[in-house]
Amino acid sequence: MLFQQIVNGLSLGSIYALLAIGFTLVFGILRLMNFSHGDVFMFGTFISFSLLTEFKLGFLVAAPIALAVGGILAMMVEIFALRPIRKEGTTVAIVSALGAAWVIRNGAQIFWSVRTYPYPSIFELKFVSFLGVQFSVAHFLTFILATLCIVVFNIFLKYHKLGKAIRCLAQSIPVSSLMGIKINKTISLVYAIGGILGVAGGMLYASSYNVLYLYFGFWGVVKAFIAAVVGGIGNLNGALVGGIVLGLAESLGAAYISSAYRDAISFIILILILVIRPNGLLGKKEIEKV
Amino acid sequence: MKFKDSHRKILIWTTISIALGFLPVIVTSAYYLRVINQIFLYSILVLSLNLILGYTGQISFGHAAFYGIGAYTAAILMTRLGISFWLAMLSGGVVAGMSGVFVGIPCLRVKGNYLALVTLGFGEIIRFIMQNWTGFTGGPMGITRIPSPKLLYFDLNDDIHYYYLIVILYLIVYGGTKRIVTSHIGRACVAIREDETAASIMGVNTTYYKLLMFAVGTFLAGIAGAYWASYLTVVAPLNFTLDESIIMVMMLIVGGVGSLQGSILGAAIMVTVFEVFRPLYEYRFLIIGLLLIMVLFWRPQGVLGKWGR
Repeated sequence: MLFQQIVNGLSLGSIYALLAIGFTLVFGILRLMNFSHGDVFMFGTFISFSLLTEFKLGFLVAAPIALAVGGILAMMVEIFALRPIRKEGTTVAIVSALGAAWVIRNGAQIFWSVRTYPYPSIFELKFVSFLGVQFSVAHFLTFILATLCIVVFNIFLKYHKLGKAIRCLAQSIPVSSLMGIKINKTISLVYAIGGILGVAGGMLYASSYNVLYLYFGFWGVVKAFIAAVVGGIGNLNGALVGGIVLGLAESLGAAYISSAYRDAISFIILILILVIRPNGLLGKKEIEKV
Repeated sequence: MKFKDSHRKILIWTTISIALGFLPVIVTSAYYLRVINQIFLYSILVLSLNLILGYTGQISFGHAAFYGIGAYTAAILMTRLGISFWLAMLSGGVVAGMSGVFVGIPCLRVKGNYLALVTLGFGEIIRFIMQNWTGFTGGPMGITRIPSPKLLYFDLNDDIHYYYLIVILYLIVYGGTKRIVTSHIGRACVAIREDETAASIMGVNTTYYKLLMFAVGTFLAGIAGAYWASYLTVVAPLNFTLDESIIMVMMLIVGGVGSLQGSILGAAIMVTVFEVFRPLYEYRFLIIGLLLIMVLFWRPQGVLGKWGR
């Protein structure tokens, strides 16, 4: 029981980490809470759902299309809703992102209506016995796949030219612009990558829990933010650590405390972290300059 | 003819009062009256949020929860203990204000985006409690048959009675917030909003003023909640969701952050838009989202906003 819950927690946590990366990247560069992130990956996941069930496409065909849709949608949100107000305060940015989220969510509602759909499993639902305990293969493979995405992205960020540009932008936007980095293009790219990784996480989540619904995106983004903050926002390894902490806490909490308060558990963790260690588990202390 | 400033003010206020007093004579339809009541209710809520967000600069995405606490407190006191509406309304405000301070204390450590999420989290936790503590709050069904207020021997149970009640409440709240905002308290809050470090160096007790604004803002939200509970005769957790908090913040942004007239304008615009697009119910949020993005594109500081950068 305990071991199985830990495996569940790890797989859930790795999905949260995948969702958190797009969020933490945007936050790291622009200090902006992109609430539309969740609805972007909700939309992409719904696209993959339609391709899988209505058009009967294989997963290897449906997934790239859905990922591309997520990336393009995230870029459009950046260009139309967030770029014009990039220099305004936090509240305006949050509200504009929420407006974009409403547009996407309502758009999805017109196509798919407010229903909970059974999402097909990507992996076969098999249970394997290991050391006398049973755990599901799907959860284990989800964990592997999500971790793989994160590792590949980390390598991209470290060694590719564009990845270096993104890291430079996170240091200082004006200096990057002086160094000849195209600011708007790179920021759009960051959003697109966030959207793509988000859709990947969304599909893994939907397939390992076999559900898909309209509000899945918004709750996903809140969980992603909590994961990012718990690990230390703006820090990619932090997103991984935070996601796994959150996933473990949720699955253990749901098993041993109460599943009705499952979402409340993550908020309590967030509040505890913000009160005890506001920079997150891996975050560096931020010095306020006057 | 030239007026002195104070005379002009008296003239304006008399005109407004007479216009508000005679409005139900012109507007006889119960539906329109209901919409107008809703506009005034949201104006009070947005004004109270304006104290926290607009003047002190503390983002709050949990305002609907305090509105809900006021509504639930009043509903429970009136239905279970038979306490009169007026006392229940006051207690609703006090309980909401106390929980506002309780939530405000951990919020002192965070700001900006973090604060937005912490308040959002508190709002959701409060809604979970409303939904799951069935024995006390009635669970998802909420509390029904909330009595209407009694004034001496009259039973205030008509839309018009509620209209006059909310107008009087609104004028009191407006006057009160105006007094707060133009006093030294308001100036201290604006100083905190503009630069917290500089304000604390100048000797502003930032902790005290932030908590004070949380207390006053949530107190007013609680009062509004108690009024609305009695008007609808029912409270349910569905009325106090995150979307409700978001709508309040949107009203504030559209009307103009840090502008008292902006609060009523924002509430009026948003409530009207929601009502106008009621036939297009399916596409409502799509249209509102697009309108919002457009408003922010042209006037990021809101229609009447003065919050210069």
